[in-house]
Amino acid sequence: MQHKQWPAEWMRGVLGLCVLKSLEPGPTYGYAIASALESAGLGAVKGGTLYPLLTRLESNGLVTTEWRAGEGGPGRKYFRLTAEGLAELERQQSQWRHFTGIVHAHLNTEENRP
Amino acid sequence: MTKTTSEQKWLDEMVLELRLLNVDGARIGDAAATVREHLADSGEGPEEAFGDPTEYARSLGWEQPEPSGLLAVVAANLLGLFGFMALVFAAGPASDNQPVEISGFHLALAVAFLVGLPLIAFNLRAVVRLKAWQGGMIGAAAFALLVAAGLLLGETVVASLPALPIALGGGLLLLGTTLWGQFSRHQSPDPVVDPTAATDAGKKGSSRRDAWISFLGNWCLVIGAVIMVPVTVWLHRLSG
Repeated sequence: MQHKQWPAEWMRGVLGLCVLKSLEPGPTYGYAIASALESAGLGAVKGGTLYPLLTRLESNGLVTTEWRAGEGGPGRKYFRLTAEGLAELERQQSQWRHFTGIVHAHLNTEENRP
Repeated sequence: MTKTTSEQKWLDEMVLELRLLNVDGARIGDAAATVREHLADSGEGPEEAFGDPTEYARSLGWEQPEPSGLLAVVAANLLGLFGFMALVFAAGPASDNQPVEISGFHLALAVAFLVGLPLIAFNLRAVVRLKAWQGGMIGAAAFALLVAAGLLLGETVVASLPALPIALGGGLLLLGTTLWGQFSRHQSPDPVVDPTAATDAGKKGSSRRDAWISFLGNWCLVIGAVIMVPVTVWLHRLSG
């Protein structure tokens, strides 16, 4: 199911985890991360939302950055998950699965149905 | 062309805001290159992709406290300007041993400088963010005050002082503060460095240019004095 845009408060809660997940396969650049998130069905993530988040991840030591020469265009800034970032991804993934399981179970209980 | 112009304007506003947040030049260059890269990839306009440049700059969370040497830099620049004015003002009378006559208007002008410039320097963020009409209103009010002071105080001489010590003192003050600026760590340039610049030679070329601009900025009052002093002496002799 494709959604144009999810509620902003949901995205605020989950975007950091999803960005960390996008970096799990290997170093990549901002637009590729935004495209991967959109392809995954999370909607369009604007640069004004993505880069401040990546900057915070870098400040917290979860990602490192490196400029690489572009092919005929401007250089690209690549983001790479650090060991701490990988550990944080695993921790948050585990927590998120537990949390969504609880929410899912709650939404499916008989007394909550109209 | 239009897109490039609006992109540059957006980037300029972001860079200005980051400067006002005391972010270092390397980080500013990184942020600008990141925006350019994203816009080239996405084909979006800067407003569409990043929103308001000022808000975006703040959202990066790079704000640093005011540098500790700001007071010293403001004081040195103010004293240097004062020295320049004293030198140029007294050079003419000093050239033929006449006294300097200080009017009430001169005093009002000096007070306006001594109060106004630090006020601007310590509220630079607020001043830069003023809308054009607000800045115009404040400027017009200050100008009106000066004109009123000029009309009220007129040519009334409040003091008559020996010109040579004032000219020499002004010159020394100007030279001293300029030399301090040249060798002080507070004045070292912090250029915006493009991390995508093709070569180290290119980056070095750019930093050499920035160093020259910084040098000329520091010595501009001395250069101005070298030009102005002979002119004022010549005009004084013509009028005398």
